[in-house]
Amino acid sequence: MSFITEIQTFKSLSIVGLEKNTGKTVCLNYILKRLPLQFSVAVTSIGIDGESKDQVTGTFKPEIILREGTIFSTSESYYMRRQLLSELLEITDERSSLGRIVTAKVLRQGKVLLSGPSSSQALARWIDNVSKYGAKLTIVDGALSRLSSASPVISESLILTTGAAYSADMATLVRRTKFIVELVRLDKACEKVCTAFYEKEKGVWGLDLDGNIIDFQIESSLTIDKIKEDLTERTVAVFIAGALTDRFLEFICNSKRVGEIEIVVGDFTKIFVSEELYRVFRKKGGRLSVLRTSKLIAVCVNPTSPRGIVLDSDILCKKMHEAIKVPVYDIVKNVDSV
Amino acid sequence: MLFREILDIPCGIRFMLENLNLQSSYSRNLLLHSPMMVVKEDIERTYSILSSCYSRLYSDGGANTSSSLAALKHRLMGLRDITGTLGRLQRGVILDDVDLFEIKYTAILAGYVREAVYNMELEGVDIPDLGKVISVLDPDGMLIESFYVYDSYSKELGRIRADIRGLQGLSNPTGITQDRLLELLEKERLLERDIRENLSAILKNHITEIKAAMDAMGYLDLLLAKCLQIKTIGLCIPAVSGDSTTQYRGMFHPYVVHLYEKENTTATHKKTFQPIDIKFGIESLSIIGANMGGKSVVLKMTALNQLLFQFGFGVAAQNAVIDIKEEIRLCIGDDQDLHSGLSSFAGEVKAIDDVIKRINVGEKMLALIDEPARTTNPIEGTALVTALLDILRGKNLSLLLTTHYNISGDFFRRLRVRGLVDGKMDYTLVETTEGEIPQEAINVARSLGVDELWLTKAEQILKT
Repeated sequence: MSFITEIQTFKSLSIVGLEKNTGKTVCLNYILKRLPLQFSVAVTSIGIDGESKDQVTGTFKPEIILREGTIFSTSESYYMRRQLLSELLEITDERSSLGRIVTAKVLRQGKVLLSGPSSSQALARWIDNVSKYGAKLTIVDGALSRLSSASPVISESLILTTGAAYSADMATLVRRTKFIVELVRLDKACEKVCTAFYEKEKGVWGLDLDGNIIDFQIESSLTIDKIKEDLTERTVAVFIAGALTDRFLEFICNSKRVGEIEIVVGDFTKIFVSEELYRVFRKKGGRLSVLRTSKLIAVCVNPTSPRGIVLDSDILCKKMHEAIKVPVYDIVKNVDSV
Repeated sequence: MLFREILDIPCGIRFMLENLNLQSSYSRNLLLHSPMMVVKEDIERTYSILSSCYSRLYSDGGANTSSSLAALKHRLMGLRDITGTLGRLQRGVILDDVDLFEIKYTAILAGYVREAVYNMELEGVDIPDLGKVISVLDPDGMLIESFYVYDSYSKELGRIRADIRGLQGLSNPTGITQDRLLELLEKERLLERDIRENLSAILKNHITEIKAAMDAMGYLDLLLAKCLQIKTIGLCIPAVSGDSTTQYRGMFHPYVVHLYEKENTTATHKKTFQPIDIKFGIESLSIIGANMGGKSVVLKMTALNQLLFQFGFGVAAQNAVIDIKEEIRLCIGDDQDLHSGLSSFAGEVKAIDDVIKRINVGEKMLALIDEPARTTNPIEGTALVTALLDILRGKNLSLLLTTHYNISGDFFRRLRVRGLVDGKMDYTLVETTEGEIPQEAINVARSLGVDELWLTKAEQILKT
């Protein structure tokens, strides 16, 4: 199954870059161009995107090209600067830093700057709302170095972009990307655990052998210092509704039963732990799982960084693929071979 | 006085606003900026519309209208404040696509709401017909809310766009075709600008109707919300008094009832609110009675109902006949004065002084004063309250004050809270001529279960 075909089996897709200039927008344009003509798409971006020049490094960035029939959402001021013919469908109540978000349908292809809803909740609402215009797939052009827009709460599938801008050393680049991919592909917790914790929106919770849910009475993993007892003593699983932090994972690592319990988080975007600590945790037999998973469709690499570093595309793709076992593409270079 | 200016009066009016199920923030703004009604005809007309709308919507339990009402309310959620756009139009600015979309959207919404109002036979709501505005912005007669500068606005525009499509469709564009494409895109841009300019000029003639339609939809939203509030809280439609008397039967305080209901969901001992009857004219009235006898609540709900009445809301009573006032003052002596650096006594006397000044200007006032001079010694306190009642005699004022002081004299009416009956508080207000105030503080304290030694000692002191 080619990755364009696979994308069409999902209702929503997020494209997230691990760093600026990793080819996120090229990837989005590539997908938009190759989806079948009759396949209707809605697209937006979290925060500012589609700039013709990168606001930080001043380097060239490709604009987003939309073809006839595509539904898109952007801020009011970017809508005025569009270089395409479109029919304005809706002014939403959502606001971005650049004004209200408007939704329109492309009547004649052209370029546009995208700047959609700026929070995850607003994005989830956007996906829900835009479905009324008949789009089979909604694509979120995610924020750079912010994985939150790729949460399974927002979209079913994702594409990661990485490259020399993320790390100029190929081995480091592969290792760091592999770690992220590992988190994205964490196993879903078993049905019993999912049922126990699905509705919990905040706090830290446990599940004991008899299936009883224990409230540890702490607000988040940040306030772990308040806990004197060993969380792992009575439990088979510990669920953190908010973010999983280094401090919390260290706390678990220091407990005797680290190998016998399962740590559970909502999804991979809730994990904020260092690779080193995660490896220690795993080595001690620790298990980490999620309530909601997201399908990682592909990893796209850009071997060129704005500082002028160029890695060998073929070797990078090969090494990356060996490490992560997910289709890897250099879209900028191998546009036609994908 | 505007509605937003009464929100800080501590009588529960903010609760009534929060409880109002408005669909659009535009309607909320209309309400906040609406003035208090002081003309009899205005209030009567308002209640006549409210009453007719209420019976149309809920007289049969709402069965006939509930689905169309839900659909109408859903539509009203789309009412937006486009006064900014109308302001630009007025100033002669050429509107952009977003502005034109907003006007078209509002015009189509007005058309829908107008039809719904007609079908639901709601009286007193007149949404202007914006058919002309719609036809300007919907040249193809599609009646959909979306907008762009349609091909049908100009034959030339249609031709240019067709040419652009043709050039964009070429698989191998040459340099010449690229130049030609850029030229056509520029022509299209200029033509679109001319069309927008023309549309703006036409729409400028309809600003008044568009604004009127927005306001009418806002008032409709408000009307529907007031009707729902009457139903859910159990409010009544009051009558306007013809003889300067105000009379409530079964008056209650919606916020206190709400608090009781909330407590009752968990409490074993269920609380119920005992409604109160009260009647007063242009006169001074002192309310005496035990602590915890609900005297302050009587003042608050009288203030609340007077405000609800003059802003055309349902009133919290079984039935009510209310006299119109030009000024409503509630001096509850809360600690708000801390912020202005005044002591509680200073804050209180200054507030009362303000009432005296306004009365002397000749405004028809309802003044509700809770335990004036209570923070000073009883000797001077009694003198101050007696003097206050005396100097306000014969003024164009309905004065209700509560007090624990013994005020002698027969130049004002007295109401007494019936008080503890068989250990239970009876909040009924009864007419009394005695100046002697009831001494029930110790009994009330005892019912609260406070230290017995303290209370027994106090009783001994009283006897000696």
